[in-house]
Amino acid sequence: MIRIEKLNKSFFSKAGLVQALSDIDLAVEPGEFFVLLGPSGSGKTTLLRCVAGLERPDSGEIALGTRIAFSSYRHLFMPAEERKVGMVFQSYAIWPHLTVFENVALPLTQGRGRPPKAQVRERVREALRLVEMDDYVARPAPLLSGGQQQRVALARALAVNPQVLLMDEPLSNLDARLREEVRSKMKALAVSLGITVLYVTHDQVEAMVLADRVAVMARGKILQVGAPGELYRSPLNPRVAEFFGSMNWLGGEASDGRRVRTEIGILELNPQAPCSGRVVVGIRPEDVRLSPTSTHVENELIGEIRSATFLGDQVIYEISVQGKLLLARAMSDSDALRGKVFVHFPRARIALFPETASLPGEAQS
Amino acid sequence: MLSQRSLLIGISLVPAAAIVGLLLIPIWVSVRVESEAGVSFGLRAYYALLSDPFSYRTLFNTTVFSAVTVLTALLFGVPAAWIVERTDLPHKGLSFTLMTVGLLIPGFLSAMGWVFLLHPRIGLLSVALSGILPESARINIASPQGMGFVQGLGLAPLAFIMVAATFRSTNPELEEAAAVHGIGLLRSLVRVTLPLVFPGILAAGIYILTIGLAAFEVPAVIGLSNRVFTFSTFLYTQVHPQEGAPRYDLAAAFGVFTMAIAGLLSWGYFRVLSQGHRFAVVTGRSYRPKQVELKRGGVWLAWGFLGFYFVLGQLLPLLTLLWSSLLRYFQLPSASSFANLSLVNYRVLPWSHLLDGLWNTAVLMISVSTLVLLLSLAISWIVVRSRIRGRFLLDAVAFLPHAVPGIIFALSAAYVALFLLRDFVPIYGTVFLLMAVYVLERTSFGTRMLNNALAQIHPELEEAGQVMGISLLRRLATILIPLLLPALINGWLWIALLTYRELTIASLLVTPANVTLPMVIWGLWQAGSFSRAAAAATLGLLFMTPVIFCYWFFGRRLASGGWQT
Ligand SMILES: Nc1ncnc2c1ncn2[C@@H]1O[C@H](COP(=O)(O)OP(=O)(O)OP(=O)(O)O)[C@@H](O)[C@H]1O
Ligand SMILES: [Mg+2]
Repeated sequence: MIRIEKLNKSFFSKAGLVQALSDIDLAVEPGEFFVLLGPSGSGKTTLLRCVAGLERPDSGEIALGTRIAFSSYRHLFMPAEERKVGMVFQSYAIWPHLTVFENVALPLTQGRGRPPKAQVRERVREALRLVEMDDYVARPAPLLSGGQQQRVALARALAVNPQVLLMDEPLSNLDARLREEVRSKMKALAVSLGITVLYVTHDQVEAMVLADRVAVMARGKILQVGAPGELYRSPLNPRVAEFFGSMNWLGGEASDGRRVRTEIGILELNPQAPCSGRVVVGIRPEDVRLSPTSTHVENELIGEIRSATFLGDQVIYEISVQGKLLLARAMSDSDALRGKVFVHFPRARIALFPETASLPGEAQS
Repeated sequence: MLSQRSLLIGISLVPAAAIVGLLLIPIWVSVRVESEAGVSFGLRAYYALLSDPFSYRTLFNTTVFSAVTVLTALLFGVPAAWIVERTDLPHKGLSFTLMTVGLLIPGFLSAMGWVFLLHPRIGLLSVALSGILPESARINIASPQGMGFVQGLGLAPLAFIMVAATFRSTNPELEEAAAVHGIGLLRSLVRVTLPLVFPGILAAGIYILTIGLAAFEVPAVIGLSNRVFTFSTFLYTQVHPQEGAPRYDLAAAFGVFTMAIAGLLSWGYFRVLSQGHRFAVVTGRSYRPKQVELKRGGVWLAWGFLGFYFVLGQLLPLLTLLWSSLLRYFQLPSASSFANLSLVNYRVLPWSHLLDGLWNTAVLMISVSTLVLLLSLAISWIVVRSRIRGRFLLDAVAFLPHAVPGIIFALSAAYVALFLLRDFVPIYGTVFLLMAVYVLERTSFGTRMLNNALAQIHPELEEAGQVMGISLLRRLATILIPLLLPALINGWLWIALLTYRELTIASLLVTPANVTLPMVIWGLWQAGSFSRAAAAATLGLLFMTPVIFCYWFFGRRLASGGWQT
C-alpha cells in the first residue's frame, strides 16, 4: 500500500546540514498496522511528513497504492492536497474556531470531493460515532479535553475515507491511563475498518501492542523491520535490542561459534551463532534464571544478590557475578532470594553481536 | 496547488518590486542631468548641494531637531516606563492610557496647538509670560529646538512602550541581589537597573532618531512658515518651491544622502537589539518583577509626572486648538474672550473642499487598510510558511518602507507619476496614486504584524487542512483568516488611523482633485488662516473619534485575547 524506495531527506539548519532520512526502504502491506519506532530526532516525523506530502524529499520514490506520490527519477511530486491520506497530528491540530461537527466536516465541504450536504452530515455523524464522539457535535473545539480532541482528530482523518491513515505520536499528549484505553480502542477500530496505518511513536510498549510490524529507526536509518515478537527475540542490532526492553551487556570473544568467553566466564551458544572474534553478548533480565540451589545445567554461574527491588508482580534483582553487576527479573510469587545464588543463562536467549555494532549507550546522543 | 502558490508569490512580488523601484528612483534622478544637449549622468546635484550653505543649515537644523526629539521623548518615556513597570503604582491601565493615547493623535494637530501656545507674537503662553520672563528666556517654538521639543512630546509614547518592554523583560533577581547585598534603591537604580536596560533605551533612542530625522508634520506646521527647514521640509520646498521650477534632482540627492543615514541607523538599531539579548536574562519561567514600593509622596510624584506629560503632550495643545477655533482672533482666556466665543470659524470653512477631503480620506482609510492586509497576508504567508528560496529577501524588502523616510517614497512616486507614467497611466492627481503609495508605506507594518501573528498559529492547523485536500486559497479563507481575525481587525483599525492622519506623503502627491482631510487643514494653515485651520482640525479630531474609540476598545482587546494556539 505504501512503498518507499531509497528515500533521502536533509534539512539545512543553523547547525549545518542534517541528514534526517538516509536511504529509507519500506513496504507497508494493505490493511497493515505499521509502526515507526525510534528515539527522538531519528526521523520518524520527517518520514511520515514525506509520505503525507508535507515535506519534499531530496531523492527516492514514494508510492501510495498504485499512484506514484513522489519520484525523483521522474521529477514527480504529488502535492499533499491530492494524496488522499488521512492524518492525525501530534498536536491534533483541531481548528479552534470551529465546533466538533465543523472540524470533521471542513475537509469534506472544502476538500477535493465536496459531496452534497446531506451526505456530508451522514459521513460526519458516522465518523464521530466510530470514535464515540457523536454526543459532542455542537461543542466548540476549545472546550474539548485532550482525549476528546484526539478522537475528533481521528474522526476528521477517517471521514475523508482515506486509503492510508498517518498518525504522529497521537497518544503522547494523553495521560498514562487514558493512553492505554485509547490504544486498545484504536487498534480495534483499525482492524474493523481494514485501513492501512502508518503510525509514529517512540514508546516501545505502544509499538508492541499496536503493530503488525515495526520499523526501528535511528539517525535517519531503518535498523530493522519485523513483527514485535521478532524484534524482541532476534534483534539484528544492539540498539534494536535495547529499544525493546532492557539488556545485560557483556564484552567477550567468540572462538568457534559454539561458545563465547566473556568477562564472567564461558557461555555455551546455539550452534547457529552468527559471528566470531570480539563480540557483544546480550541477555534480557527476564531471561536470567535464578535459583538458590544448583540445577546442574550448562551456563550456570555463581553470583551474589546485591539488592532486590519489589515492583508488585515482579522483583528486579541486582546480582554480582565475577564482580560484574547484572539485572535479573523474576516473578515475585516465588520465595525471596538473598545471598549466594545460581545464575543460569539459557543458551537460546543469548544474543550475540559483532563488537563493531556500537552499544546503545554510545549510539544515542 | 502550485498555481495557487504562484498566485500568492505573484501578489507579493508586485509591492516588493514597487518598493525597490521607488527606492532606486531617487538615486537615478539625483545623477540625471538634463540640458539642451540632452540627458547625461553626473554628480551635478550633489555638487550643488555641497556648495550651498542652505544645505548645511538644513543639516544642522535636522541634527539639532532630531537630537532634541530623542532627548525629550526619552526624558518622558523612560521614567514613565519605570514608574509603570517597576513600581507598585495602582491603576496600571490608567497610567498606560495616559502615556499611550498620544499615539492616536496626529502630530500636526498638536503642533498647531503648540504654535497657538508658544508663538513669539500670538502664543498664549508667550503673551502670558511676557511680563514675567525676560525676552531672552522666552521659548521660541519656531526653532529646531522648539520643534524638536514638540516632536519629542509626540514620540514619548513610543519611547515609553519600547522601554517598558525592556523593563519587563529584565530579570528582577539582579536587582534583588543588589538589594540583598545592601545597595540602596537609588544606587541600585543607577548601578544595576540602568546598565541592564541601557541597550533597550539605546535601541529606542536610535529608533526615535530615525523617525525624527524624517519627521515632516511638526516641521511643516511650525517651521515652514518661519523658514526653519529640516530634512523633510527642505525636500518639500525643492519640489514645491515658492518661486522657480521644482528641483527634483536636488531633492533626490538630499534624499539619497538621508536614505544612507537612515539605513545606517536601522543597521545600528538591529545591532543594538541583538547585542541587547546578551542582557535579556529572561529565564523562561514566568516571574513578576519586584516592584518598588511607593510611599505616599512617591505616589503623588508618580501621578504628577504622568499627569504632567499628559497635560503637556496632549491636553494642553488640543484644548488650545479648540479654544482658538472658537475665536475670530486669538485672545487669552478671560471674561471678555469668553463672550466672544462663536462658531463663525466653522461657518466660513471651505466646506465643499473639506467634504471632498473627508470623502477621499474615508475611501483611502477603507481601501488602504484592506489592501495592506491582503498583500501582507500573501507576503507573510510566503515568509513564515513556505520554504521558497529568497523569502527572507522578500521580508527585508517589505520592511524597507519602515526604515526609509516616507517623504522619499512620495518624492519618487511623484516623479514616476509625473514624468514616467503620465502618458500611459494618468495616475497623478488621483486618489489611486495616494492609495498605492500609502499601501506600500504601510506594508512594512502589515507584514511585521502578520509575521508575528502567523508564527503564533501552529503550522499543523494549516497542514491538517492541506493533507485532507483543502487547497491553499480555501485554507486561507476557512482556516487562517478566521484564526488571524483578531490580529487582522486590530491591524485594520490601526492602519485606518494612520491613513486618516497621513500628511507627509500627501504633501507631495495631493492636488485639488485628490485632496485629503489633513491636507485641507494644513492648506488653511499654510495660507495663514490659523483660526479656520483650528476649526477644521477640531472637526477632524471629532470625525476621528469613532475610529479611535473602536481601536481603543476593540482592537487592543482583540489583539491581546486572540486564539491561544
Ligand atoms: N524543518 C526542519 N528544519 C531543520 N531540521 C529539521 C526540520 N525538521 C526536522 N529536522 C531535523 O531532522 C531530524 C529528524 O527530525 P524528526 O522530527 O523527523 O524526528 P522524530 O524522530 O520525529 O523525533 P521526535 O520523536 O522528537 O518527534 C532532527 O535532527 C531534526 O532536528
Ligand atoms: Mg516527531
